[in-house]
Amino acid sequence: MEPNLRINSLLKEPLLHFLLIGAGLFLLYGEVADPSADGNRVTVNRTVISALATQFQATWSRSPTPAELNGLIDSYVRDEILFREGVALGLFKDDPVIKRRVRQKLEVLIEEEGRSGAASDAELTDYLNKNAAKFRMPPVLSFEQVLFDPANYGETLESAVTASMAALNSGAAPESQGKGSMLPSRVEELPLDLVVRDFGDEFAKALESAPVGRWIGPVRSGFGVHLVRISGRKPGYLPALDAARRDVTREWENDKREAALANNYARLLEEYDVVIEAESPAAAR
Amino acid sequence: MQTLRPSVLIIAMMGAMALSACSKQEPAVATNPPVVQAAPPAPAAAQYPENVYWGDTHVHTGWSADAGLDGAVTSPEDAFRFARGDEVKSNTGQMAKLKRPLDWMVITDHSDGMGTINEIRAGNPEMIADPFLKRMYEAMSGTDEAKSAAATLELINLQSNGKLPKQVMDPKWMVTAWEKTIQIAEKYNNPGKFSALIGYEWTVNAGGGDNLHRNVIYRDGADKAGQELPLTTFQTMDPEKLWEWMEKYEAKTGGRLLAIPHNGNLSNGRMFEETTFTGGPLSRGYAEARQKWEPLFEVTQIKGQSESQPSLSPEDEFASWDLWDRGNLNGNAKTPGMYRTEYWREALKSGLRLEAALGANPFKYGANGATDTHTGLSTADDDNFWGKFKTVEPSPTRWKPEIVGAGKPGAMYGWEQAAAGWMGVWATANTREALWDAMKRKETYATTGPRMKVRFFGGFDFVDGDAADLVKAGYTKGVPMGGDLKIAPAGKGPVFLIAALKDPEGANLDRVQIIKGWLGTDGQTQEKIYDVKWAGDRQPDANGKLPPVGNTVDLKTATYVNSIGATELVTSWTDPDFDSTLEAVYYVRVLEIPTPRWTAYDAVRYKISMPKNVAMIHQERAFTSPIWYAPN
Repeated sequence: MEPNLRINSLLKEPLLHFLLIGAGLFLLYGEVADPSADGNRVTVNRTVISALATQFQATWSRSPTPAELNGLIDSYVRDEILFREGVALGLFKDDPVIKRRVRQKLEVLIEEEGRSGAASDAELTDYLNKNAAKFRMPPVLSFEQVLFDPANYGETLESAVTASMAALNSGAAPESQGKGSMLPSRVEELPLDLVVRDFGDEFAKALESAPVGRWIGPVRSGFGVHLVRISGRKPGYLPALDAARRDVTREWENDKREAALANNYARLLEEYDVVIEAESPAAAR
Repeated sequence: MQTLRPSVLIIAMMGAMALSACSKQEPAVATNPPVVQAAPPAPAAAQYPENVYWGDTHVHTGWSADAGLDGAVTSPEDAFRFARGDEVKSNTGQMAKLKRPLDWMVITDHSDGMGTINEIRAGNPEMIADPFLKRMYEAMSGTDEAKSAAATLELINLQSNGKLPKQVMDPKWMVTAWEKTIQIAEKYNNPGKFSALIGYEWTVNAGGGDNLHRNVIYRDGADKAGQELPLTTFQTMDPEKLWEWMEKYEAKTGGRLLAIPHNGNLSNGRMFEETTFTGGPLSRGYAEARQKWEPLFEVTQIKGQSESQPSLSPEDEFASWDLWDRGNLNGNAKTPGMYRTEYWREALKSGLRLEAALGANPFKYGANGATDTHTGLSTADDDNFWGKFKTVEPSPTRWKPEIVGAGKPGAMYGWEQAAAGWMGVWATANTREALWDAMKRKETYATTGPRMKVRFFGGFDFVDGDAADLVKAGYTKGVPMGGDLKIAPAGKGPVFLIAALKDPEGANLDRVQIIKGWLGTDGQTQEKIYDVKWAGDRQPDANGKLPPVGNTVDLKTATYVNSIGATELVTSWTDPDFDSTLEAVYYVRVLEIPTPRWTAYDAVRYKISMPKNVAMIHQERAFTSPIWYAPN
């Protein structure tokens, strides 16, 4: 089962650069650091020991004692021997595991490739505009409210609300109405998403389009009914790139990452003839 | 492998880089370091906490070995996106979204084998040289969920018994995953809007599955957290060593850490045992260290609650809920007497006794609630519950399988998962620092999922009418939840201000209770539960017992109505049994009216029926951190 990758198309891509850098590192590493590539000898050289000690230091903020270091070295040697025995048994051959390994590494590379280079301001601005819903700043509301919990009023709810509405329209303070509650009577400059968080969806929706400057109601919420006066409403808006750069960059990168994976697979798939001969329903495409 | 095909090159290169990571601690793929821009400046902090912020201190992604093995593929990136309200693809390919976003979250993948799972999933030859890891790989690459679940259980079992294959324990696999975890948290941390805290789980399963797990939570950003590797249980399983490691981290980096233990219910008596981990006697130093490093305890999560056990609290009619009390994490059965040192309430009481003996209280724990999800999806809403593992993500059969301790006396079934919980944090701002500070001072409460607002203050100087302006009075004349009351002025007892407001999108409230524990003059601990405020005009009976609130749940449709219960319950309460010479601890429990459990939503959604023993209705609840009274 030979893969039918198009080397030519790969050559044109930044992926190749990555591969070359990686190959270079691999060769370099082999030159300077390979401690143990020879037959039945396990060499524990200074590089290995200092790596083990560094690892220990990174956890404990101190160097290992001689006994601890000996333990780490023993463990390293055991790893080496068992690893080589495993290889000698041919466990790496013709194993689906290898397939998965290659797949994952290729996917990582593709993700990284998708991330190559920072986006230009023009690209980010374009992304911001095309995904405006993601980045819109919510309206900001200031309001006063009085809650009427039906459980506290029973049959008298409607008349209590009507009486309070009259009082409020004559200038009564919201604190003087209703029976008090843990909800604030006055709310200053709260973004709509936090109004949803504190008062619930139904209430926030009603306030989104309500008139400013006069008492309205009853407005329903999960707590009961409210009388509300909106004192200020700053409309929602799409921020300029500079104000949203961090968010836009993060989302742009995430889209790139996901798209790179999907596109690359779709492109590769086109180069293969996939023949599914089984009749199992799972094979249906 | 004689031709130098690109795929071969890639393997070779990645292997080299993984090895180089061992000495250089470079990320495995470092050609294009992401541009991590500074987070916007933190919003101004309030004078005292005016808002409660909701989040989860306990989330595993596909990067946790047991989660990945079970088929989870979500990354920390997916987990943060989900928590802040984005739609993400679940591990079973279904689209998942929270109805309401969280305000903050901590990802706590296991430090043991961090990053390893990717190597196994990808079939690293070094990994699959081990026959068990080979089986794991096969389970992960197949579609047989039973096989996959069985391998997960085997993994937990091996880890508990210290028999994990060497390859998993090699720290060289960990470096990359830790750096990436931190980097992703930096990317999603957005002060004032969504706080992404850095953390990990130190997963001690002593003696074959006795759950002594701790989540370690950082106040810090990448600059500090990246300076040290997380502690693993391959290095030590002794909590005192964890505290030592935390102290070293703080001294080196100037950062701050706290740890939250969880699942005492699965510790087979070891979470609150009255000896050190190695069997020595407790000391004042031990008690002070535990109190310093572990301000909170996780009282509720998917694998059951560790708040109360009916046999320890026979007078408490609400002690029996979400019980996972048949064994430990491996399903090894309990022996009589283990409960006493597993549950939070009993530990709070024992702490008073130990304080008298040692001079410091080792169990001075505030309340934390979290999910411990292994799907990357933090869900605690019963109508939108995504389960503990990939294999129990929503499906018509997810209630059936044994999910812990299969085949053993303590085995637990899918339907016994609790859709719980989250933690409310009274912080001065939604930032890593403000949230962490509030956790450290225990100004927190746990819920089984609903986002009710709960206030709790104690003091000696409250007067009539203070309940009306409770927040200001609470902070200026008393202490909030998590605080300490010192010796009572002559002739005065503590007064408590208590307020609970229902979840704006949730069920009404049944009642608010104070749970009091104290140390008697005979050296024995006691507890008593007081109904302090309740909905409707119910009257307690001759024995002082309040009648049930009623039930509006319709199981045919999995719905309820708020025609019973209260929107909010506010009161002040004076302890009628107060003795100024006795140590005491008080916390608040808030109960909702009965609502459908996640199993009831599943039954309607999938048009299935479940056996009679499957719980379908429950009363969700909140628990505050306590206020302690110490006469000395």
